[in-house]
Amino acid sequence: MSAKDLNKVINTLLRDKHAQYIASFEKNKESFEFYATEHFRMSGVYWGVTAMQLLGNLDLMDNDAILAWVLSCQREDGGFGGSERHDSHLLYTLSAIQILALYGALDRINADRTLSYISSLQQADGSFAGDTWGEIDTRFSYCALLCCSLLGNLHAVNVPKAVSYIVSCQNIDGGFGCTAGNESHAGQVFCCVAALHLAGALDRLDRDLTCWWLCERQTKSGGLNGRPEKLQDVCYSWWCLSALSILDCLHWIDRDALSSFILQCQDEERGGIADRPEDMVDVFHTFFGIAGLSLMGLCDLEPIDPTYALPVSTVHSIRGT
Amino acid sequence: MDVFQAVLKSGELSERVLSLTDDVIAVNASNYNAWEVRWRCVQVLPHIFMEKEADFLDQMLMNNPKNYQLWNYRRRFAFRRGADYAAEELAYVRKCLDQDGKNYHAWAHRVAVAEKFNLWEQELDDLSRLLELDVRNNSAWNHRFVAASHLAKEGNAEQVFQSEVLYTRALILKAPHNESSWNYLRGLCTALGLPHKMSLEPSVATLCLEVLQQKSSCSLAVEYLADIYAEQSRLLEALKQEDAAATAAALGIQCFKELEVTDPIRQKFWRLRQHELLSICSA
Repeated sequence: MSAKDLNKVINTLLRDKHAQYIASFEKNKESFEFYATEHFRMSGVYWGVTAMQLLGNLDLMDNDAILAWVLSCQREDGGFGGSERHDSHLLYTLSAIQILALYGALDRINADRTLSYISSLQQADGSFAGDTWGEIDTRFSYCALLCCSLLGNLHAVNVPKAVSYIVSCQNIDGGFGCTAGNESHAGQVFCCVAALHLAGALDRLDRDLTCWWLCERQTKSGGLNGRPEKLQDVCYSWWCLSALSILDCLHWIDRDALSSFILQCQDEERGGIADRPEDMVDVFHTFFGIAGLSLMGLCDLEPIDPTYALPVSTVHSIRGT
Repeated sequence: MDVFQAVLKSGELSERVLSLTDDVIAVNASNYNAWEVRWRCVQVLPHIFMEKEADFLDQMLMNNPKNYQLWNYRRRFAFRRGADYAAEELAYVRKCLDQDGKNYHAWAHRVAVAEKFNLWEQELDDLSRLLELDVRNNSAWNHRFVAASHLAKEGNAEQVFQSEVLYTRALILKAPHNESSWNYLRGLCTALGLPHKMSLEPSVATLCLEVLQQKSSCSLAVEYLADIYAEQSRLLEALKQEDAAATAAALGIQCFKELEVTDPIRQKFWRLRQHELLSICSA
């Protein structure tokens, strides 16, 4: 749908509404939604608090309680579960470490235990399993390298092997898939490009081809899709833009068209951002919409780092720069 | 949930724990702990329980076709059942793809099973069937490239190349505005392990011109042609044939200028590509 088809064009970011929406998100702890999202709650909290920080409203959250809850989700093996009742998984270990980084609280955990958990998941071919169960995916390569980097010890894992596995997942169109031979998907492209960046190995990919595939993702609506012939979706504002930004090619896409697409996906009454105009909002798309606008330097948001998926100020303080 | 927590703690693996995971998974099919306990149970229980998993998984996948945990479980299950069931497994995946031809998990599973049991030979036929239904299915094109690469590696690479170019040519003429088929063609020319270059394969340049005769506004054909000219100009430049290089570069620039008009949302990119060729033109 193009902007002019809508009765009303929303052309500003409804900051206060979004802050209220995120702050109220976990109030209703008896709902089915709360239960059904339990296994990935750690990521939900990461999306919420990071969006709040970008909006400049982190003070609206119960930050002490969040921090205590995150710490309660650490397991014996050093990893973190999706909630206090789940086993460790790399996805939630990364979300937990990102939240701790945002709060400047990485010293509250024993980093060596977490690093040893992460390195135990690396396989002989350099790939990473998500948990002890063995699912392999390039998402987990990104999770592993970013956790290690945030904990100050990238070489707790075998970086050259991790790089060669990621490179083996690059396709002829320049994109990356979950494992070798899988279709290119913008989410995986973000993970692989960011992981290669962390490993100092961006020279291992065909930059022009990858960026071309990424900018082909922009549709006439201004929004971006994740694969050819699929619908545009706000979350790809992050997946595609961050990879383009890491590769220094953000200017290849039409930023005005993309930002107006994101703004059309806002819920004017409840706050929050949806995948597409007039769909239901959720915290996932709210975060990715705000993060995309931040990457483009719009709406007076705190800048976000495309590789760490954390505010630039947080990354600076961790790296001592 | 509290009973399940107790089971996790006790480490019990039994028929009653297996049926408890039924309930936990029914409430939340993404509960990765429950799937892990389930897998441990079926491994220690009599073989009949492993067999029953096929029906259980078919049912679950029908209702949760995009669930990571489920597909990962299915992968372990398929690998454990072994080569005797591999054809049946691929048939099952095809059924899932008939429901949703772009289900990423189903395609990933298909790659894994075909690779594990080396079943690439049959794959091309079924892919032709799927592309007949939807010629824009990028997942099917991707899988076709994986299959073609395997077949090229194991057999006569040149033959695979030639027959795939012919196949793709027909589908491009049928539906020229299709990013996936053009990407596939590019892949055949650049990544099949043959010394073919886009600009040295005359049938490909001819195809672009043929398409443009039919549909002069087809930006994908113009883009491909532009890439051919750009590659040619660089090859000629390396051979110190400056005049010929400049001519090819000028033709490339002309194509990119046209793309600025027909595909305005990527205008900045097309300008950049022109800029790269300007130095060859003016050298």
